[in-house]
Amino acid sequence: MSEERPVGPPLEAAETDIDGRISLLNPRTERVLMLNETASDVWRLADGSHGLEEMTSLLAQSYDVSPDEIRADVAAVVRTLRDEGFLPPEGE
Amino acid sequence: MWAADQYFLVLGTRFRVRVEVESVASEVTRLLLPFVGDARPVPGRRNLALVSGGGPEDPAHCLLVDDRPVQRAASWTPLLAHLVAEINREALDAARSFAVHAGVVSHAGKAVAFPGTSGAGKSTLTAGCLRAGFDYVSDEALCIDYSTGLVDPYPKPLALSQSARRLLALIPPHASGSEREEEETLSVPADLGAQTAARPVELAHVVIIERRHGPTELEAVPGAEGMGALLSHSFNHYRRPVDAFALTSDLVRRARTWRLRTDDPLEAGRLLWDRTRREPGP
Repeated sequence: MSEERPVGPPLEAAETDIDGRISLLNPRTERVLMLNETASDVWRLADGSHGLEEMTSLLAQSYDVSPDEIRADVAAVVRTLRDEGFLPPEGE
Repeated sequence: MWAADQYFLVLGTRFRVRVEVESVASEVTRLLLPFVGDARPVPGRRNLALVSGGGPEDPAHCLLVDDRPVQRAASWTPLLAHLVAEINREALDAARSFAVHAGVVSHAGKAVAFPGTSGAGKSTLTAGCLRAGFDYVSDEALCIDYSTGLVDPYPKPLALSQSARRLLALIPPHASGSEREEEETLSVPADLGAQTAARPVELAHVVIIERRHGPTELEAVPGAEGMGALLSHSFNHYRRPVDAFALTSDLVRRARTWRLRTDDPLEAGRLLWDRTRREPGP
């Protein structure tokens, strides 16, 4: 566990996993977010026990790529999940 | 004086339709036969009427909704299309089931649905599937009962444009009808040699339509795409968002999702008939 602030845990949402892809419903806004496979992996790791850099490192190992290759994408997914109200805002 | 005064029950909403002209009344009955209901007056129903032109000063025929004129035309064909469109709009607006903008056909109790917006080719593909051997469920809406998870048939008359009829080989390739090219005329499944699904059916296939030139192709795609297609084309998921989310998730788990690339509804119908019978779904 790093010293960085953890991402998550998720806010209240309905969630379903179909063929490895996660879809989310925000019951407050009624917005549905359909994640691709990579974004689904980001969501699974955003459980409040990993920081952004640690998530990036774990995913890079899993995909057998360097963290630099996916850092921006992981950050973008986390930003979207926050913007859509599925994760608490940064710093909370 | 009315030649016919009939009641139709459409997705739980009752409509009263009165028609002045005998031949037009017969056509209304033929088109709306699956919805013929009893004449018991029920509050909240809609009243529609087709009245003939009033004379030299007002030669156009007219569609009335709750006694207000909403459409005039010199021939009955567009007015019949407007009558059905009016009923369709009201019925879907009041539907209690989960309703998705989609064409739907079935075979042996298994439904194939093509979600899509207006102009996506749903009715034409539906008709192509009927020509291939499928039964008719709807060219407009996939209606799923929240409690059973089954598809309720909604066999409104098929609305096909002149160009769609040409694609379906229902008229000769170079025929020029009196109707404008995109003006829709109505058909019932029997006109296409098909029958209507008589009972609720299980959703077994979700087909995402991609219109493009070239060979007709059908490719299996992840179920999440089917879920996205059902939710994004739903008429009323916002009324019960959590239930709609859970229902569509459950539906696509039990169904197969496909992407169909085609510009030939007859070939597409034959391909779907062949593949969905060979691979009937999970």
